[in-house]
Amino acid sequence: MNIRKSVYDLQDDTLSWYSKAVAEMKTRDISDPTSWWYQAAMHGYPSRADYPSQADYQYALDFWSSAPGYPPSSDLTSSPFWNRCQHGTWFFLPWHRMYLYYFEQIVAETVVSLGGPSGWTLPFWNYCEYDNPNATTAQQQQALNIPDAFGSTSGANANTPDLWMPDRANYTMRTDYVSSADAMAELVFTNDNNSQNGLEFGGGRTGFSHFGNQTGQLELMPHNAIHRDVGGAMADPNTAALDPIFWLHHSNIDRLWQVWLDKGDNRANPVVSAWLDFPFKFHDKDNNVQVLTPGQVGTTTQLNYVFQNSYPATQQAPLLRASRTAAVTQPELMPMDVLGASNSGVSLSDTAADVPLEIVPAAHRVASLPGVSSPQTKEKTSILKINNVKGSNKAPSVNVFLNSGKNPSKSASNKVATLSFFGLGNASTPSLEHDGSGMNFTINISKVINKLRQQNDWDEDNLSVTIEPEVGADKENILEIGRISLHTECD
Amino acid sequence: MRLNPTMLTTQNKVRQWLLAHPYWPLFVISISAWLWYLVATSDSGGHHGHHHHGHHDTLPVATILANWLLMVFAMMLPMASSGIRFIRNSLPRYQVVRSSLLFFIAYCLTWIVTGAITLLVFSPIGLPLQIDGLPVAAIAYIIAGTWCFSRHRRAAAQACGAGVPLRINGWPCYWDSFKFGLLKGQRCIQSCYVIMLAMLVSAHDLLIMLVLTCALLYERMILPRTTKLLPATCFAIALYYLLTWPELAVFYS
Repeated sequence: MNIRKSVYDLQDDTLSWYSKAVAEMKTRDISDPTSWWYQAAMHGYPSRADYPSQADYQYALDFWSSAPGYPPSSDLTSSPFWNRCQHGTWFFLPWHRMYLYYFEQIVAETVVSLGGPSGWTLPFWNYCEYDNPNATTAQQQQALNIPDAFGSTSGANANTPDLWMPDRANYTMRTDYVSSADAMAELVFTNDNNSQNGLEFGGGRTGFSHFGNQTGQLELMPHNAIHRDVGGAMADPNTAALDPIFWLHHSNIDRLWQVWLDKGDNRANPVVSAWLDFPFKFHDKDNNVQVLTPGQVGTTTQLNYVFQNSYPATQQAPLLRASRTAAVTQPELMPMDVLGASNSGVSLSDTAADVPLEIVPAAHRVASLPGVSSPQTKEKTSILKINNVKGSNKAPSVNVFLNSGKNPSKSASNKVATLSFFGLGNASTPSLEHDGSGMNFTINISKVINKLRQQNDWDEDNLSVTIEPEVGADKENILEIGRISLHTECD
Repeated sequence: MRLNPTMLTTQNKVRQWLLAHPYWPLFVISISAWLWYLVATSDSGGHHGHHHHGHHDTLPVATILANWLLMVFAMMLPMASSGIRFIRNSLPRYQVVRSSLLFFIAYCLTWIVTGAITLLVFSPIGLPLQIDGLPVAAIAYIIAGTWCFSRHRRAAAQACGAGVPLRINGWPCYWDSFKFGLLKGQRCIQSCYVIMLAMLVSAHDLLIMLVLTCALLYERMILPRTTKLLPATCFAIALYYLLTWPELAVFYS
């Protein structure tokens, strides 16, 4: 059984060989499935339609221009292996697990071919360690940093030069971008039977979905946030996998899936055939086409690897969890209904926008916001849905605040989320791959509702949402939001 | 997050199922249309498996349109189920029934208008289309199958499932729901019309209609370019019509 280790606990030359393997794989032609370029293009390759301007498109292409065999032929760019990454879908986690599995094989084979040891395994970058109460301050701070081997703002690390990538925006992650707590709190992988409750760990039920619009909580945070915060190639799905840190980031996301399963409380992968049996094709280390289904990768042990224990801790789940015959009962969640929604779309550039919510008339409500919770009562769940978000791949992150009363404000007490967008340009463009309706997000606002209710100016019939682009947002980068709606559990 | 404590009773299980599948009336209408077809086929006595829309030039326009709408109900309503589900997920409960009805009316309206225009175009020459010396049905399905590979059709099929922002109260809600139905119908027509046209010009067999419906539904579940079942089905049907073309039978009779 292979063990994937935390990058900060490595005591051997794993990263050194990783760097050498990257260098070797970059010498291979872009049409070679074992080349660095082909592997990255399986995630995404730039298409003009995904970018608002020729300049943005060229910027993305520049990351590829040193590939042998560049530019790729149209047969290659439209091949059934390129542009396959699954986002905004319940296939997000299994597809990336398969993707990493074959990538790891190819790198391990390359390491051996270069005279290195056999059994190379992909480490993970556990930025979640920042939230570990048992870690030292130094360990917490270290976790926020891209590991030294991957270079710095000054350039490459001389010992591992090929792990560096130009144009990374940040080498230290924001502290509010690394938490997996919200995702871990979800009880269901996908909310297939509970229509309005969009809170789900793994993503919504879809067919093949290269940038769909049913983003699960783990994909939202920390996955999207880390992509945006690292920036550069990592911020764009059409270039992200060219950055060597991409694979360690996704190794951590893969680990967090296993951690979630191990938390119990009937957390389980979907057991329907539509998920279990959906096929995805990859190339293995010998260049043979392999087909895997999510049912074959539901736990890491099915692929013969486990993760070193790291925060949040994991115990390797028994295979039974992924078994089709396992009698795991999905928790049934309370039904929800819409309480309020915006009446018009919102356009954002570099300034905040206040969006009033039109509330359902009292006579027609079947759901109302919860009363002040006490230790004796469980919180009623309320969510905010931000739907049909459209923009470019350079769209800024936004902070979202919920307000009650006539005076909107932006403070820590009424902040409900920071949304980071990964692949927004792709999702906003109608094409063969996307329906062009943008991205949808679901945010759990129960705690903030509880806080606001305790204030003197609480007014349930006068709610609004403030959307604030991050500091430094580009005025030219317009973000369009179709609708914001508030849902709460039925009475 | 609270778990639902009332799930154990059968009544609530049924209620939850209905809430989780709000498009069930569409399937009821669709199944009713199929049953009507089965009855009509049986009544035509001795023409097993063949239900002809044919000889339209002898029928009143209203009857022809009604037959077209019946075909839409049977084949296309299941495809519209994602629209009803979207309405259910987006609107407060008190609006769902009215909005769903408006969506349904608008969706059907797009197909009625399309059907009317189609029949107007073909009325001088009559349906099913018959051209001496040409296997019209086979050609129609070859065109339909080839069309399935076109960029336009594939993009339209991908766009079919997209939702739009809906306002939640009053007349704006109803108007948005109606527009959504029009949009859904338009996208459906863009992705499925050519196949429906092939059926119309070929005096389609009920079995062929069923096979195509299944292929369309399968494609909706698997989208977009991971299945070639629909064009393969069209080509298979074209081959069937070619092999059963009376003028070809001369060569092997």
